[in-house]
Amino acid sequence: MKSKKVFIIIPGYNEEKRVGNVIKTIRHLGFKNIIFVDDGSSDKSSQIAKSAGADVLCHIINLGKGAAVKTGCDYALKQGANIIVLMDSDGQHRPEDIRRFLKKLEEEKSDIVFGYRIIDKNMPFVMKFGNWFISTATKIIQGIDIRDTQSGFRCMKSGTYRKIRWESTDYSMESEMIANVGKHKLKYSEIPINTIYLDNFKGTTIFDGIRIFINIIRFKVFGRK
Amino acid sequence: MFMWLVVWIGVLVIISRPSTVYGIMQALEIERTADFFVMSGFTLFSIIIFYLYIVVKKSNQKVEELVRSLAIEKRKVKRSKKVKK
Repeated sequence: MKSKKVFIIIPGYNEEKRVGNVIKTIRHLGFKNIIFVDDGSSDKSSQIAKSAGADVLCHIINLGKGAAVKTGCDYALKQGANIIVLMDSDGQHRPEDIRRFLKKLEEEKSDIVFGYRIIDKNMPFVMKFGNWFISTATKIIQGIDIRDTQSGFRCMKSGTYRKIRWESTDYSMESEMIANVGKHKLKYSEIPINTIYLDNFKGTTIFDGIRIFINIIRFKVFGRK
Repeated sequence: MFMWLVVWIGVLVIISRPSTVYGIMQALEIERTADFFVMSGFTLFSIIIFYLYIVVKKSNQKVEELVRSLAIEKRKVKRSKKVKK
């Protein structure tokens, strides 16, 4: 695994409070290829990420998480990435888990590893219900059984990214990724991740959830790629 | 612009001479000219909305591509400048 080039992609929008710590922690763990994609932030996210040691790519306007992650992945491929790790910039994912993802990817010879959030009392009820609803919908409609379809903590081989490259620019990207994994019959595995809920009002909203549900049906009916 | 000119001229012709559309009305089994107006208007607007949806979607895709490639190119330029120094 050491010989492989691992790139950590972190999309972010107005995350100046937390992105610096996230990047510093990842660097302390020994990962040097960190790409922060600033999705049109109006705060100092870019400067903070850069001073923390990340390679910063800036969208001049806000496009959405799907577009930001795609920019990061495309850039990582151009830099010769072998493995791509996706994680959030708001500090809800523990960078220490990255090694577990890489281990799982190698041990199980998976194409992609999905992190799933452990459901406990710390998880807000709306999020619990939303995740259950979208995961059940994915299972019924797409036929893929993934415990947490909306977790942004994922790890994949660069070849996998080429196959599952999504078109969604918003939070539907997570579902489109899963739909494409199913379509290409790729091998996937899951690992539990600890999540720190710092801000209940950011991230996926109820309206995003409805849009994701409609898109799950759309991906099934019209297909992708 | 040309499309709108055709639409408005068509509307004016039908209003001033309703008999011009009697043939179409008979073929579609519509009795009143007002009904024909409402139905054709609804159809026309549905087509226009769908057309605009496609145009907006294509424009969004172009903007997305532009913003994303700008971000990557800008980073590449910065990297190459750093290497030269």
